[in-house]
Amino acid sequence: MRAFLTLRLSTLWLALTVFNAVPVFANQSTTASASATASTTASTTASTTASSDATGSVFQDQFRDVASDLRCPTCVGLSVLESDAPFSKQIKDEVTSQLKAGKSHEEILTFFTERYGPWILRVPPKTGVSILAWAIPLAVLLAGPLAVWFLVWRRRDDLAGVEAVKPLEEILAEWNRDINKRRDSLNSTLPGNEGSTTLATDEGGNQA
Amino acid sequence: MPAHLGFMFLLLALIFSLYGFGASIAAAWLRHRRLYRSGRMAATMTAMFIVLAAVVMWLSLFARDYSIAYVWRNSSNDLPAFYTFTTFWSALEGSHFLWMMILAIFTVIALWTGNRDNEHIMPWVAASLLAVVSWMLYLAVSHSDPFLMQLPAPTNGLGKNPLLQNPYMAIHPPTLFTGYTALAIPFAYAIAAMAYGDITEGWLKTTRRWTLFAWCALTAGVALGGHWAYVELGWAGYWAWDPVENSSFMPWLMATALLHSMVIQDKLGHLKRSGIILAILAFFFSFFGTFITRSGIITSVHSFADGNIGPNYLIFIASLLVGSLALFAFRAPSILPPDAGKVWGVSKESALIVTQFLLLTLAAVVFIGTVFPIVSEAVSNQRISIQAPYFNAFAPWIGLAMIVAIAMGNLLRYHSAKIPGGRAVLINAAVIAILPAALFCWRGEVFKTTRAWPLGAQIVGIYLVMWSVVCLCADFRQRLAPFANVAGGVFARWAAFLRRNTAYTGAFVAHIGVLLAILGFLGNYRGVDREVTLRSGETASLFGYDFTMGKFQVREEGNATLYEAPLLVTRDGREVGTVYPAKSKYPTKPELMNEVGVLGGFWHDLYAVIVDFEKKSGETVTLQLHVNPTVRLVFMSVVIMVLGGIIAAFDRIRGDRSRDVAGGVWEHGSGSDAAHSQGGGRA
Repeated sequence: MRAFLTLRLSTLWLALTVFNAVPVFANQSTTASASATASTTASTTASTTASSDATGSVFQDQFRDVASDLRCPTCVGLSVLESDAPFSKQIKDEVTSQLKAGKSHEEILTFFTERYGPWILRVPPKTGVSILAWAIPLAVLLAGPLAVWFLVWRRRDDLAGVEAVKPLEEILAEWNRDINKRRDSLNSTLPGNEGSTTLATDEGGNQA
Repeated sequence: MPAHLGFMFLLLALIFSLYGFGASIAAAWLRHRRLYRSGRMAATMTAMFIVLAAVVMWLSLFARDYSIAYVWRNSSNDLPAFYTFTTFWSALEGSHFLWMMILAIFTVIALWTGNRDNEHIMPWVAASLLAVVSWMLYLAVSHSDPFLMQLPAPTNGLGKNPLLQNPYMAIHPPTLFTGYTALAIPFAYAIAAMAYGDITEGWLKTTRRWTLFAWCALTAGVALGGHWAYVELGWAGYWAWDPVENSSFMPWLMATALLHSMVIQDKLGHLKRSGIILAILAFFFSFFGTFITRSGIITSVHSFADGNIGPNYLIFIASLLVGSLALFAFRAPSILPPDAGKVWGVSKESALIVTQFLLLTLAAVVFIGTVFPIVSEAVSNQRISIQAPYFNAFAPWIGLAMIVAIAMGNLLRYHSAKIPGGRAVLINAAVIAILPAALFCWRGEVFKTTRAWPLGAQIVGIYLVMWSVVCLCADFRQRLAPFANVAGGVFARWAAFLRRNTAYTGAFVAHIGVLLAILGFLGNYRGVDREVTLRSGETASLFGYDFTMGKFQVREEGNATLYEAPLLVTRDGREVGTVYPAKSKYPTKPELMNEVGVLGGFWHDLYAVIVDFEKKSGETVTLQLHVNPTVRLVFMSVVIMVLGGIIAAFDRIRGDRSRDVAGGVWEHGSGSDAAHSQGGGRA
């Protein structure tokens, strides 16, 4: 928890330092310091919203974070934040009261997971079989470029083999021998045909 | 009585399509031209009978013939004419019917307009398409019978789902189905190419045009669905990554990848097999989408599914995939590129490969996210949810890479690692892009978001999009340059350019559309909202806008009763307009529906939903107010994308100079068959 807070604070600090350069932020990014509590730091960034009440807006942000991580049990594809279904309203009330009781984001999510199972979260857990849902896309994203590199771009290595093939005349002679052989065997199976068969050429299809 | 007639038409259609399938297979096997033409005629008759059955359905809908269960369940006496017409596709059986009808019509069009050079593979095309049509007809007369009777006929129907009584939802299904079914044609040509053993003359021209058409329809269809969700469902978004949306997105991604593969096939003769496999997958995914919608395997708003149609669909799509892939495994090795020793390196063709990789990866993420909950439940009995945050963990990164790939792919040339104009183009673009990016951030009020992380990502994304747009424009300018000397003034110059660069111009417009869409997504990455309870005359403010509630009113519109709370919107004292959120009550349904009020501007959509209101007096109304940035941009960009697709389809040069030459001949029924012996020669 302690480490998490420090990490979060330092990230915010970094972000605020960067955005000092942006005029919109210049007049608001003055109070962040390592000793500030999480709530005052967050309110510094949050006060750029239209909302007038700074602390209320911090609470709103926390509430949104939690509510958008929980699925609406009765709808499709929506979080409880986006839904006004009765079940979602109950969950939102529960989230509000737990936040007011001082519970953290993770604690509230754990509470709901214990109650409803991992199904209540909008993303699959990173344990058990579900880890595949995270691992496969990552593997594709990482291995894909390598595969493209080795299978397609590196084809130039094959050129060594290409240069070693037989000259064209030899291939054509081979083909001719093959064609003659086939024609002979064909003619021998057709007794009415005295070797007058010519190889078919296509008059209609190609303009060559 | 009409029910019997309609059913009979469907049965006749089934018989004709089965005959047509058999005749086409036999024609392909025996290389018999007249037999193929008979099969083609049977396909035409099939389509005709399906259309006749559809006419019967429409007449029954307008006659309010509740002896037909479908009419009874999905319409009622109060329904306006327009929505009576669209009731045809507003439930399970009807939308299956529509799918089937569009597919049958496209089959006929594809068979009669097929390139003459391709006629010898057309029996395979006809057989593939008729196999699908036959199967759909079988479902229509067995498990998904739209003419099922309901006797004695009730005097009023149960009524149409109010959510579907919306102009966007009325045209969304036909548009999307047009896209799905148009993908059947490239699929059938892919099967035909494999059955024949090679890509034939004119193959690419035909499939490219059908794919482009399908792509345009899919783009429009997906966007219409999104727009419907936006104005009808009331949660202020247009895309929730819900399974049904995903299943319409996957064929789109596949079709897009296929188009990019076809560019290489046309220019270099490479990626023939990849084109074939993508055509198969694109069609498979359009059926997979239908399967997800129909089977109820994943419950969703759109899944009006019941009945035992699911297992049938599963068997069909499984055999579709296994059959096509088996054919691919056996036959594809004979389909070869012209030069085996191609050096890819850094070049346009490699950029196109990267693009395809990104599109397919996104498709894979969407696919995993859609089916993984089912798999997880089946395998480990653990129920999990995969929703928007999962997709949003991957999609933006792929999107960022795509922005860069679009810019580089357009700047690079074939067989060349050099960008015309040199590195200066890239650097100039990087400088020029600062201005529009800053303008967008300022006007779009991007900085007024609450969090550092999405804000940083937004700014980087917006800048990259602008850079990419500038790169594309620079490339366009370079291509325009050689036409500077064309005589006859500006008009003649542009005409000459467009004649020679139709496909390029189409691609340019479509890519600009994609980039603007990404810009739109970045803009509304985070909207602001507020829930307020107001009395008449009271004002609430959000993001600088003041919403003043006017007099609560009740009025009739069509068959609905609207309870409306007009909100006068002002900003800095200036009037912006009035937004009309409402609740509606339909005669046949007990519940109140949301009628979202949207007041659209280019930068902000003001979006208001009534959460609740004091039912007795209407004095207090609880409202959810949203300010959604740049939503308009997303919908406009879709129009631009479709426009690009249409322009590209007009390209007449492409495909005529196909590098693949393969003539085929008929054994029977051809005028000059006496001269031919085996197989057909290769010129």
